[in-house]
Amino acid sequence: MAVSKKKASDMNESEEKVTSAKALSREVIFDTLSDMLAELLEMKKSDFSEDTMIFEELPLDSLQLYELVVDLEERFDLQISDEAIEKIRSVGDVVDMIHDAAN
Amino acid sequence: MEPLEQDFAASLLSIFDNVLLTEEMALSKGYFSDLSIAELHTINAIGPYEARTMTETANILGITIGTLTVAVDRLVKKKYVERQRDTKDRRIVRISLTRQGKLAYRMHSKFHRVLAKRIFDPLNEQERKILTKTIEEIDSFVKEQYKKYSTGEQYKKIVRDDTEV
Repeated sequence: MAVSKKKASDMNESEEKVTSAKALSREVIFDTLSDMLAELLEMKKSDFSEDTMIFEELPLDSLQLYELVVDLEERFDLQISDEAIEKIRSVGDVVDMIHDAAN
Repeated sequence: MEPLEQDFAASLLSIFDNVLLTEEMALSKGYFSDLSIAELHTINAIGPYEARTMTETANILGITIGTLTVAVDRLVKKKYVERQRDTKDRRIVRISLTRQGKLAYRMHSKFHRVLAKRIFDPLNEQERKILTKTIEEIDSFVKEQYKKYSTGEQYKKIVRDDTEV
């Protein structure tokens, strides 16, 4: 599986995480992702929509892409494979990826 | 040796040398210039997810726990690795990658993926299968030779050299 939920035994209870991605709507995932992108790229949250093309429209280099991936894994307790990353084109694709992994 | 065999042997040696050289070059000019190749391989063996015990990691690398301890000490100091004691059995030490360690892992695996993609792209499915099978056979053969000679001393030397820098 390209994106999978972490095993319960891997979770560190003391860390602040979004513990149940399943209960999260696409809107909440998008909101969290926009916050993370805004902080990472020093942009405004309102600069992003689900249609924003990540590599064409955002000044995201390869290190920043992996920073986003590592932070998303931590925040949503996911394991995101390289194959899944290669399929990402838009912000909406990332939202779909997280949402689908939780369901 | 037949001319074709000679060409093949020369290319094989050239690949060994150049992959390592390129990895070192990419490291020294990249975001993780404070890491050596041996340290990156330790990071790879620890992996980005579940914390591993020192014994598991030493087994993956084929080195002793003593040698791994030296490497891990350096990686902890550089903030790529963290140690935790097992909550149930305090004698067991687990190691895992920090955020910075996970980033180095991802970037390094990207280097390997780009290399593989570049080699695969011009080939059709059948050629890819043949190439993969051939490379696997070469890998098995080299591993067998390595087992015959290795006592972990080679890796020890790399880590020791790094330590002395």
